Amino acid sequence: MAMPDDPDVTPADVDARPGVDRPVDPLVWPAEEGLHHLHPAAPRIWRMVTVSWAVVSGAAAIIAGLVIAGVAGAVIGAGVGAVVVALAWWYPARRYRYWRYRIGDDALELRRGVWFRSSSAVPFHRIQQIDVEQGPLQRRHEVVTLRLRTAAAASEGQIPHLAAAEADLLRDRLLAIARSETDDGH
Amino acid sequence: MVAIDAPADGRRLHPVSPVIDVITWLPRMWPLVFVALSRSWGPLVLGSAVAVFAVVGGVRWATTTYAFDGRELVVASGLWNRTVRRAPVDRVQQVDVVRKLRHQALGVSLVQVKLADAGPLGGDIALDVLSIAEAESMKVALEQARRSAVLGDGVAASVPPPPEHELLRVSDTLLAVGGVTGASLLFVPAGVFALMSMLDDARLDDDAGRVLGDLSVVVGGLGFVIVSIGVAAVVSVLRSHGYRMARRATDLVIERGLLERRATVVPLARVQVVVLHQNLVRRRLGLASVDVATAGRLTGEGSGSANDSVPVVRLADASAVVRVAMGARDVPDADRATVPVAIRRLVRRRFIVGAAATIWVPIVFGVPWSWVTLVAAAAGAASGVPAGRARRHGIGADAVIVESGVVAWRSAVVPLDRVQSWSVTQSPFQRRHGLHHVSIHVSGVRTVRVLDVSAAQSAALVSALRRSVG
Repeated sequence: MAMPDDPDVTPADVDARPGVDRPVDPLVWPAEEGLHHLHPAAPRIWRMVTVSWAVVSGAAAIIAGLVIAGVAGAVIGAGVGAVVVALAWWYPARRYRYWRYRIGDDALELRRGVWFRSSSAVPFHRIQQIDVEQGPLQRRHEVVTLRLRTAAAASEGQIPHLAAAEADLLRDRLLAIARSETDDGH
Repeated sequence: MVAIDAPADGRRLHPVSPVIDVITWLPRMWPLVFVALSRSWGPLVLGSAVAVFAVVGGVRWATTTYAFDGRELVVASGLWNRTVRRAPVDRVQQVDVVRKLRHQALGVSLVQVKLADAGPLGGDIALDVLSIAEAESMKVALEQARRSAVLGDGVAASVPPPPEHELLRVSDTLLAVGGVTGASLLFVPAGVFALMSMLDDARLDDDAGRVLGDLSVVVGGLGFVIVSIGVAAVVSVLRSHGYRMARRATDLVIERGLLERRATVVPLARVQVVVLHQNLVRRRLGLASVDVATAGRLTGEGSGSANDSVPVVRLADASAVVRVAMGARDVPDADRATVPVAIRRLVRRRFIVGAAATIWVPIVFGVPWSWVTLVAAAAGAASGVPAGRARRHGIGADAVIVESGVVAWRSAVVPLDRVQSWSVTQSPFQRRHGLHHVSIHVSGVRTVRVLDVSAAQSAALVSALRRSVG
């Protein structure tokens, strides 16, 4: 079976050859062209959730330390709790920085992840359903989550914390593209 | 608001449905049965339980109707909460007609219509139960309707049903070999372990009874192993006796089972991924099993039937089934090997896992037992090299093939036109070496993962996936 991208060389050759004109790394998107950020309120919403959990965890660590090793344990627990709270404060901003989406030629592409980077694509003509969801914190900041469903249970098409108006526009646009793709026979 | 309308000309299930319900539910209440049988008031409680099940089953029967108008199957059910499920013919992934022992005893069949539905209701519509004739006519009607959807009403009606071409039959002997060499093989090490522990216990006996004790233990242990192997073989034969796969136009027809007869129709257009499995023993014997997966997802009774489509066959026959299931698509070669850095990463990971899993041994039993941890870590590291080399993938014009595993080797073929979405992920450890995981999602719950590929390899994969939607 000949390889469609380069029939004359083995894959190992392609990987090993320096300076070869190879496809772009899927996790490295060129420039910032066509890339969209989430709503600026996203890190605040994430932070409210993560810091709340971190404070509860820190309190549990202090109590556990106090029960197990007295005051010294409580101090250690407080230290651990402080680190967790600091991480919970810092992480949402980084998460926001790495969260991007773009509407490609044939698919909606999402890129995210601070430590664990991820890039996913949902072809337009595979979209079965688009849900717009809004939780209490999101309602306060007038943002929504756009969830794209395909026939695959594991598809990862979810854009959190979009401005409500932008989400409506994006949903209509995606539905229009999906409809035209389907009409074209996909 | 749209009203939930039950089909006007709805038919009821077979009147023995409540009896089937009682037979199905009663074994699940075994603690109650156990307690009831040991008490004087037991028969009364047991009778009440049966009566309750019968009433619930009767209500289910009385409130469930179904109708098929040639375009969609409509099933209405529920007393308080009415549910009407509609299954358009062009959304049907697979049709099964199942006859378990209880169905055979009562002369009825269960019809399962599997849909690509990951919702809370599950991915199937079960008509539990219909008369045998009604079940067969429902299956035929669904097939006819699907052909009409493809060919047009007039053409489909004028053309006789397509003939079947038998692809393969599996003999009971081969099924027995498959049972012994398949997952049931786990019975054998359990038997050997039992033999060893019994031998160990026998050493504690006094000298006089030692020889006799050892002999009886050996015989008992060997007997246990033989029984384990026999059970594995018999279970496999019972499950797949009379296995037959045929092709009828664009469908695969599979019939199997002794106590539970199952006839499955898999439209080839609904095949999402085809997986060929081989373990070390089967590889030696030149045997393999094939899993032809559709998007259908079953819950409850009969679940898992979409898997293990071919329990065991010669490798050549298995490869032929893969080609048939792929239709006109080319199956590519897995010609892209794992890059060396990925193998080194796997060796390191398995070393750490081996050490971490056994680190408790020297902690609990003392430093002299450290050799256990060292051996486990070394064995883990050593297994990383063949495991890394076994990971291969290939990209064709129509499909992607992904191979992995040493002890349990699998080769998954994904038609590119079936791909729903994909994702590329990278952990901090992978980032150091420029490695990625690529996950390919198809309809249903299946995801095929290509692990630890280089950036260039993942880019080529994504490029092929993009071409499939371009």
